[in-house]
Amino acid sequence: MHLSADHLSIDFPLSSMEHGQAFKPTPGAPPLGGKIHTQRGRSYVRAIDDVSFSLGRGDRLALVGHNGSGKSTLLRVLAGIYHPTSGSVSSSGNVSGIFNMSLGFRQEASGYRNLVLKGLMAGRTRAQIEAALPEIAEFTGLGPYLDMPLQSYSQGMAMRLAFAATTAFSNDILVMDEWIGAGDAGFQEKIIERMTDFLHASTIIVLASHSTTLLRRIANKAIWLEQGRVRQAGGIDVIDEYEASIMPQGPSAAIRKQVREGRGLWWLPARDGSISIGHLLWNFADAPTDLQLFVFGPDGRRQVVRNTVEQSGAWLASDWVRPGMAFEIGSQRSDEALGRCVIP
Amino acid sequence: MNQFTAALQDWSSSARLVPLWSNLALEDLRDRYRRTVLGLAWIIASFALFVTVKVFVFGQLTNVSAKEFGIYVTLGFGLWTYINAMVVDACTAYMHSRPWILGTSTPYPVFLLQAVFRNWLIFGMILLVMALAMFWKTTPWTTVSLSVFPALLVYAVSSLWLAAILAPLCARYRDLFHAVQTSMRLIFFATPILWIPATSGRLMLLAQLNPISHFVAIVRDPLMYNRLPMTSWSVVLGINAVGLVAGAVVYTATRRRIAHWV
Repeated sequence: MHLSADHLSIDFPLSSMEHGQAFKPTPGAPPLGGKIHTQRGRSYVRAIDDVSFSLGRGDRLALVGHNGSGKSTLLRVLAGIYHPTSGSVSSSGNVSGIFNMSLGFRQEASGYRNLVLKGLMAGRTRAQIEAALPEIAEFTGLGPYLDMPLQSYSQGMAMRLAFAATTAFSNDILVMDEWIGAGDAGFQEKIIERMTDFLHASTIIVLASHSTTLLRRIANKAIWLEQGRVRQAGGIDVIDEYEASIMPQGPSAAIRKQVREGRGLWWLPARDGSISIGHLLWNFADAPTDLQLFVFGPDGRRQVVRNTVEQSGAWLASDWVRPGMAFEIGSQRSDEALGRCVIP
Repeated sequence: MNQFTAALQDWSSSARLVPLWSNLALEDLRDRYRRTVLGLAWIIASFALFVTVKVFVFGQLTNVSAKEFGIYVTLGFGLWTYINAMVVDACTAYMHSRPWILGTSTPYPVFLLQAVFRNWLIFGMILLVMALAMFWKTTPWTTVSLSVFPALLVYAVSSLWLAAILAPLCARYRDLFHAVQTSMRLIFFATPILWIPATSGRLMLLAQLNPISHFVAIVRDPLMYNRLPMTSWSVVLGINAVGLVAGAVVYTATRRRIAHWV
């Protein structure tokens, strides 16, 4: 099984360029959108510019980049919706896609009817679809709503339906655009579970999202797109580099990596010019989920700063934080702290 | 040549997706009549009502018998209803399916077949009314009437290439859709449906220059007058020969860019 792109480029024709010339980019701002170029008197946006990669069985590729960097366009080219201007995409099977929620569903029809249509679209027979329906219905957790028209669904409910239908009827390769964030926490866990479980472990998934936490949990490869070009490609280190670039005041990629791979609570002083004095960083991946962040006041009493914190995370120090203060992270059920750190 | 093979592949895989486009077409109709009491019966009701009023009003202006004029208008208007709806729907076939085109990689002919099939579902019901009207046929039945079946087949084929031409062009040039809609309204009066062309004169010329009147004639003439209109058949077949080639060319030339246009 494979999915690969070979020197892929795609141009979108611009019907009009009213301003005659491209705007000068704001200094220091990240470049947005594709490059605009003119060819034989017509203007084009180069949405994807010379992108190549190759994925094999079980690969999960994360796409990161600013708005308009070409993530969605690349996904659509992979799914066969846009035809490449030059270069090519080759895959061993059908590529299924989940994009914007309003796409590929009929608002007036019931949830069940939409599932049937999705199945037909994926080339399944009526009998195959009927056989798969109970399991899909169970997975969506939508119950009686499946008999109601889609327009009565909330965004998150529609997303549940879309995800269940697409994964149930997708054959082997799945591309997904930024939308996972629409579901509630419970369903997000279900999604991640389904994408990483045994049955689906042999598939190829390409995923674009701004939620780097989510991408880290699913992906094993990453591509950072900028103006349609590959700025960096590799393992999930690329996600760290990207995060560091969008938050220049935050920790660098190297420190993020160190935190992710270590265990403990650290103090990271801010660089010059920052509004804050620094960050607290921690990683207790094996700890219980009911973690709290505490501070010891000048009187030596332990007080709660954050009622619930992630097992791995960062806290931007508030302006009351002074050198000499001690912080602790611990479980709500035990007085013993997992980690302790004193502000130097 | 490579593009042409890809286009052929689109059509052959779409032809195999019968359950898909037939269900999409059914869903379109259901959407249209959802939460109505009469449902699909609205198609028959509104058509029957239209024809009755037209016969009543325009029957006063002709000198043929009420029976004959009734059949004449029922057949002519029934065929026109299909032709008009099909031409307009051919324009919107891709625009109408925008969510699918941008959300899945379904081959595009599916959406053309969907539009054609949807119109045939409606046409099927109108054909029922037309068949009922034949109860008052003024001439005896002969085998010539059987030529209606190949004529209807020609309607189906014409609809396909017409959709293949109009759907992408209307998606690209949005004015075309309005132009087509407006001209169809005008062509209605230039087609012998409410009036019977004389054997000479300006109306006769109008009927002969209007291709749609030939499409109407190949169904109406054998049923009403037991006559095989050879001129009309040759015009219709000629148009189809050109149309099939044009449809293939336009489809092949536009298939790569449709996702940018819709």
